[in-house]
Amino acid sequence: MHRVSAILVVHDGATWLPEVVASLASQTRSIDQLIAVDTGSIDSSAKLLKGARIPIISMPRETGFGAAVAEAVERLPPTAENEWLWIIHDDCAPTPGALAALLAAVEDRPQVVMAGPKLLGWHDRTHLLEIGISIATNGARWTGLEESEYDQGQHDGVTQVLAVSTAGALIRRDVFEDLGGFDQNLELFRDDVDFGWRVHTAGHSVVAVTDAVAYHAQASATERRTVDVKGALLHRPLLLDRQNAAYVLLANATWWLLPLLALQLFTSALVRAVGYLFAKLPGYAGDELLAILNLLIKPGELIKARKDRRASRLVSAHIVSPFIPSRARQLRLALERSRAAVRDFVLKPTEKIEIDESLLDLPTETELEEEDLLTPVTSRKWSTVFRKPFIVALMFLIVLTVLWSRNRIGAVSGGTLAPSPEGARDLWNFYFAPWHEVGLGSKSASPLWIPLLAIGSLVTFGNVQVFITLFFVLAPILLFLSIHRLLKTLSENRFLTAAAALLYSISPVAVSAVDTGRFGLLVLMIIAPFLVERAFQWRTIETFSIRAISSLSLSLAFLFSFAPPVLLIIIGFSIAALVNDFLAFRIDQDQQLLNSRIARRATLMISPILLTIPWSLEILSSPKGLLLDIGLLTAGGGPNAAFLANPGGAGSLPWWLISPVTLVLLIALISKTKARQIATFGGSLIVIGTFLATLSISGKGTGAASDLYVGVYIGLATLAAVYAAVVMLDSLRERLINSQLSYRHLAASALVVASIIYGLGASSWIISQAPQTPLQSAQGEVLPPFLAIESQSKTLVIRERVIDSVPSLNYYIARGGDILLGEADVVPREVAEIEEAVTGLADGSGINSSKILGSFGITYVFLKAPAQALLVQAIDGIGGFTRASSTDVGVVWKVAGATGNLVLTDVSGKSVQLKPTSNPDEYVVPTPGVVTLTQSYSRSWYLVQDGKRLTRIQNDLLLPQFSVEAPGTVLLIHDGSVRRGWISLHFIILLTALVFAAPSGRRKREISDRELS
Amino acid sequence: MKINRPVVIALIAASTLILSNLTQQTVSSRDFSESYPPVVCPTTPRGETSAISVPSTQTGSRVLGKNTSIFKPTRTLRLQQTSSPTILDTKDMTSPVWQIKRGVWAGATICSAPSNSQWFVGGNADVTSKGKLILINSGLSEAIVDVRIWSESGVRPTRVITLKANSSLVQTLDTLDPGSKRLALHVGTRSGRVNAFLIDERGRGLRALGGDVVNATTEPSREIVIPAIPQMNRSGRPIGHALRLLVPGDLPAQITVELISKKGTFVPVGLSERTLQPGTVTEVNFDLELEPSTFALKISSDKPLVGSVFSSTFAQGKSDFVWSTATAQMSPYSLAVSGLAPLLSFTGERVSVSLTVQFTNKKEKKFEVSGDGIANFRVPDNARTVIFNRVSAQTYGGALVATQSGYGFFPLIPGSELTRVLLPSPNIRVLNP
Repeated sequence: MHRVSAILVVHDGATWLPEVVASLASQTRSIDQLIAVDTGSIDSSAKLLKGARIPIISMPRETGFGAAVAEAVERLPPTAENEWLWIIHDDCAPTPGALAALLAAVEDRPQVVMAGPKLLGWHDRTHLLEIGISIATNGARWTGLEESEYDQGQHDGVTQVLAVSTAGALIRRDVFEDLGGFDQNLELFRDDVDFGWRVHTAGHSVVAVTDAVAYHAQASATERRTVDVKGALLHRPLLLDRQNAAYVLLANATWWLLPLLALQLFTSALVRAVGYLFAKLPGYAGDELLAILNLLIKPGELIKARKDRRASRLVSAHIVSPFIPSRARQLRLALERSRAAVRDFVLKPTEKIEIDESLLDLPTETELEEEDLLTPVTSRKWSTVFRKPFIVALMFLIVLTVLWSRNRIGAVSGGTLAPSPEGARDLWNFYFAPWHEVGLGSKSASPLWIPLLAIGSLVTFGNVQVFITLFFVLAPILLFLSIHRLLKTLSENRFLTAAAALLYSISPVAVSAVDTGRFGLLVLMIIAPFLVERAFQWRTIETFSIRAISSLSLSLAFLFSFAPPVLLIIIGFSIAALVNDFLAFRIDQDQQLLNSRIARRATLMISPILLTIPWSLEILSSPKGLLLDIGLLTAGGGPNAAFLANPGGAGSLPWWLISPVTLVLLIALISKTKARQIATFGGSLIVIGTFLATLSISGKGTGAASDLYVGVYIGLATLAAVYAAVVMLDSLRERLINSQLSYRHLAASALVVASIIYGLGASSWIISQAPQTPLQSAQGEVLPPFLAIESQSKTLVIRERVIDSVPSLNYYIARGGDILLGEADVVPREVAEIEEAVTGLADGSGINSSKILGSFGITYVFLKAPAQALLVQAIDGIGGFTRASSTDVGVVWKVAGATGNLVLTDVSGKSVQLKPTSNPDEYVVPTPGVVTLTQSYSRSWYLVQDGKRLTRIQNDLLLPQFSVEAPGTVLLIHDGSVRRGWISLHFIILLTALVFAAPSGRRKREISDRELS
Repeated sequence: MKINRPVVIALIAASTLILSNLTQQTVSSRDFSESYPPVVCPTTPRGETSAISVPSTQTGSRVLGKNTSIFKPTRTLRLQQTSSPTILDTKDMTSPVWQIKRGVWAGATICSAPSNSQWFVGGNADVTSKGKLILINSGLSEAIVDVRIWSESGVRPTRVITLKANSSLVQTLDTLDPGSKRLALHVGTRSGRVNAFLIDERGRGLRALGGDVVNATTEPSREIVIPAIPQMNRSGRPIGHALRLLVPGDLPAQITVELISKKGTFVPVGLSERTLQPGTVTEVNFDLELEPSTFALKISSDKPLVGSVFSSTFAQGKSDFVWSTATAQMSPYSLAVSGLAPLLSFTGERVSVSLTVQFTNKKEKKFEVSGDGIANFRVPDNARTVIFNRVSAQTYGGALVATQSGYGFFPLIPGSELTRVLLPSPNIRVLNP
């Protein structure tokens, strides 16, 4: 026969107490004795208890749970045989049969000294909270259940567990007293796990009994009431929970596991803290870290706790191992929860989703029962899928893309696209490098698209070449899918949306971008449709939250880094919007509204610059960079082509394949629909693009000016035109059917005919001209292998090129290989002296050419075949150049004189090349003199001798020079501190923006009871 | 206002197009440097003298082998060249060189710009030979030259000759292919600025048989024209000629020779439908019953060939011989003729040449030369330059000079042509395949 003494611990529990007391009173197996401990409740809890005639022990407000229970046990009569303590929380209501079920379970299990009920949610009483608990090695409370798991009896039975919650726990009093009760260092939280652990090591066991059910509000853990126990720093439950979790692990675990556990606790606390920071919950992040710190500064408590546990331990600590979840289980659960979180985020219902009316007509349960379930369901033929306009258009595009890409199997390059490095690692190295071996060397900051590309190439396991090839092959399809996603929100007519999306993906600018390797422009055209909805809200920008502004800033910075002209459009658009704001202000005089708008617009203008520093600052310091696309410089087609929405240039559609873009914009501008608004934007871009196309521009390592390529403006204008066309035609169709023949009929017909002619013409051109476009695979290498292996040498490469049947003679300095992706964006300035020397080579007048080229460390001159015989003869005749080879690939001359990376000129004026020792940065200087470094000047260059930096000056050729007073070993260093500093600053700004843009987390107290359940 | 909107839009569109086209910057990547490369005159071998007709006293000249590369004015219209070759900056004028071994022989050629390929048909290497091949490297780097020699017995292995920078080399013909009676040479330049000249001098014992400078002929072609072949009589009998031909390819060639003279165009006996074996130098002797004058040969072939005509001469009481070589078509250019009074012989279907003669007294006179097949023009004695203003199509020309020392021929082609060199500009795309 058992005796049950129930202990009800109360702390501001008036909300739940009436039901709790009622549930205790209604137990089928009555409680022999009930005593309540009130820990200084300031609500009506004490009054309620008194009303129920329950004896109360009043204790101070900061009393811990363990101390309260201990006090109650102390006040109970001496231990009787088979006496059990039933611990009840003030927010835990057991069902009437709970106690009986618990006693029944322990009846024939003498080794069981602790049993707990199945805990369900207080509000949602089907929500399974716990059936026994454990602790993970990272300190997490482990229930083994899924998030918000629905109770349908799937875990029912009596199961051995590490511990059960103290809410509703039945504990044998003699064992409880023998083990010293709950550890009073754990004033709240995790005392249950700790006690269960100690029960096991004392040779007993714990069971969870699902026939016993209790509803638990978890008021303290969910911050429904304050935590006032003495040890709760700043009354923060999370901090207390984490601290206690660490305490339980470190106090009970085997000693040799302690370092690993400590490391895991700290690491997981750090990770969670970062997560909380992203969720904009800095308080919780602080709790995580403070919990560990708080424990570490009080090691005495831990040492004593371990000593106490050793004294009461009767069996090996390994006995609890089966109850501790393995790391694999922890990882699996973490992954499942992450997946669920992402799924919930992606599939979260938007405000726009309306209730499907058809769902309201669903049959009732009774009707379902009456329905003949054996009636076969009518199914449609699979072939009907291919009658859907979207599928047909997509299939057509896939076929077109396959034919289009037939010369792009393998690593592609050409047009603006330089050959890619093999691995993402090379891109990362390039991004972080403070010095780039391009031309005479450059300290320019790498653009942000380099690391973004490296991240993107993770899709292909870090193989950049494959990623870029795939991107260009799939670009038309991505364009199609991206724009169709937008267009289907505008019209239900899938013929219209699919056709419009198809035209977008084979628009002149898209074709040009693919054919000339402009992945920046393609990224812009793929991403831009996702921002259209936001762009339409430009008038009411004051409604944008900080998070919305932050995520928009990140998106714009992303686009800016891939397509620099976007910044000009953002600034222009923002200025136009600001003017509109001021005009609105003159009418409504709402200063607060104006300030709010100005602040947000200014943020959107400035943030892309801040988020891409220091690259953006370099672009701004040379504003023509804002007009140029990323990659190599290639020419556009001039203003007439631009007006027809064709960027022109090599690889673009011929001018006579006129797309309907400009026509659509013109028609939309005179329409009365929403199309006019976006057509104004698109038309403005066409006008701006047309005027900018009149400019001739040089740069990016190209001395000769060429027509500016205005693809970015035309790309966005094309997007506007497609949008406008769908809006117009969607609403126009009905009107045309129901009206007399008018100019609208003619305009619509013209548009449709122009679109069909263009579509057919463009497709034919794409298929027939694919092998002639600049972007191709397997283009070979410029520099012959015997020059490429001399990575320390500079080679002046001269090459005759024919662009649009116009011959030109170009040169550049190679550094042991061809140019690679990204290098065109960091090229150093052109050097006039080298240009003069090369001109002298070409016209035969350069008597000093070899001397000048040698001064810049140029060791070889390579004239790539085919070349004019006259030029070969001229170089032969100038002197200072010795023929090294003449092969099919070209002619190589060695520049006379001592030249290399470091050149020493001694006091007599004699120059010798310094060769590196086994350490590539270490050189031996044989005599005092002046050492010239044949790289661009930078204040980060240092020559160190005997630990001292040598004096650095800039010589007449603007090269760094160092004065060496004594012979000996010198170390050449380029200090990358400045670059590292910029990267750190950039990272901080980027991280801050990411934190603001990330979805906000909520404190538990902010979550409604309904959601918690 | 509603009705105005389309008009406004149309106006904006039109003005955009018009203004953008008006303001468009012209882009030109054609950036050339145009110049006439300096010309090189041949070395004057020991015992000979050379006189170069220059267009002006301010014509720049420098001597090969000196350290300086500065051109100094000649200060004369007829430059007496020392043994080292002279480099002239004659711009668009062509300077002929008159080279003589006083009282023994004379020959003429033009100072010319370096060339990567030169063909010579003439000379021998038998016991009578005193001929020389002159190689000149006017560049400041070492030059490598491939010399290929054909003779009546076939082709010899290519000889590779290295020339030091800024130097010349005289190679006697009898060392190149000893014993050969009929030579044809090709001088190919692998590297460097190289000019080649060929001197054919012959003697038997102490008896001089004459000599001439063999001018470079045209590149192998299916049709070649050899103008200005002198027809002379000695003791009332016409002096014979020898047509030397080489088919440098691998297949035999069928040739037809047309003779163009003032009496008309005809195929000489024995020169119709001949087959030439490839790789061997063929010589065909022929005599013509023509009035003393000049004539030309037009050789058509189904395979590319090169050729020259050897003619014995007798002028001003002196026996000599002359090599008339195939030339390229004439085009307008200017020729310095100070100290020379050459006979200009033009050939073509319908010759029509408009030329201006500038005299040493700075006067000038225009002449029109025309004729069917052949037209000759004797340059006046005190002429300084001849400017060919207009030349009819398909017209070829050569100049013949006769002095007491002998007879010479040079082709009427410019020694230096205007060359356009693209000026380089930096462009990183050269490193992109």
